[in-house]
Amino acid sequence: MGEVYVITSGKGGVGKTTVTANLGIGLALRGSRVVTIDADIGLRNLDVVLGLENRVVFNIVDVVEGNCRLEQALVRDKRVENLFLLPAAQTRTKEAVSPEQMIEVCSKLREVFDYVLIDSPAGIEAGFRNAAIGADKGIVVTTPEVSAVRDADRIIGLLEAMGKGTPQLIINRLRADMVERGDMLGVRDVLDILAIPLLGIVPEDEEVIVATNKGEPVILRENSEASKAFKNIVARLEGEDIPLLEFSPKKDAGFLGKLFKLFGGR
Amino acid sequence: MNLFSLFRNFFRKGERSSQIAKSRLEIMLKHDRAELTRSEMMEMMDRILMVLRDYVSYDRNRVEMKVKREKGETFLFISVPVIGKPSSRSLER
Repeated sequence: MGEVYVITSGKGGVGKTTVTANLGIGLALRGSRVVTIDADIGLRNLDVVLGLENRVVFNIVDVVEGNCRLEQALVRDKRVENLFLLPAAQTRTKEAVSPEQMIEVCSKLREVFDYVLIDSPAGIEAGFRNAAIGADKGIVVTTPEVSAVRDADRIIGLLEAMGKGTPQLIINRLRADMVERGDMLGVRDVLDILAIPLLGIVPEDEEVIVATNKGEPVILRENSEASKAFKNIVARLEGEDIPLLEFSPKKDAGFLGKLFKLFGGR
Repeated sequence: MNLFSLFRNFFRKGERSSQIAKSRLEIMLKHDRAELTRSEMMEMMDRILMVLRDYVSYDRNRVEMKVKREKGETFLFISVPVIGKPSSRSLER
């Protein structure tokens, strides 16, 4: 039986879809069978970030309405074996899939896959609840900004109230230079406030934008900070004990040294 | 930290913006988590402290309130530094 994760944030634009795509590829690269679900019905994006938009034939709404079988709607990744995408519908609304149908889709997929990763829409309404309802646990993505952290706190409370346990946190788009000069919330600040376990830190990296432009998630690139960060998160998800500070082994003291400062010298 | 940023931080006026962000968040989340507006929270504290005044004397400036969330439940923590017995005990009537 596979594990079902919902990747969520409350606030839009913090990188849920990027995280889902990269974790999906990373887990599949390590040999797991992975399916990613785009639960953002009406505003589908995961297919684009994964570079699979031209391969989409059916979607999750077709599955629940009986227009196709579940297997027919799954898009196989072109680069990585064992990675699949269940796309969202672009021309429908969130109501097109009911909570019961979402639970059923998740329970069917977990029989075949080791990991089911659900990319949640922004917000705290029906779309989010639908995305979370079939999941075992949550991964909350935030950026070190006041608005994103506030919304993350709200989402953490909702996930706990839904009985999904305490979610794990990914802090995305961290800028070490800004933290160092005291102009961005540091890792310690965010953890003090949200008080949930940290799954990983992803530094701000231009390569992520280049990767999205090309539809080739950044984790597939060798020499990028964000790629290393995502690989470490994937390893932690698989139970490896990877120290948080070691994701950026640069030769000079630069980035690693700065990271130490982010933790307040810990 | 290079010499320049060390120099700049040293002479920088006021609080760092990250510290402002953190304290704003702490206040915001207190209200969000407790689902109480600022005025409701102040009123509640005043009423609690009014009761306490009959039993202990305390340092008003160091009274603190925190709202923590754990496993889907919300907990209010109010810490009141007690100095001693109240000067005039209104209980003894």
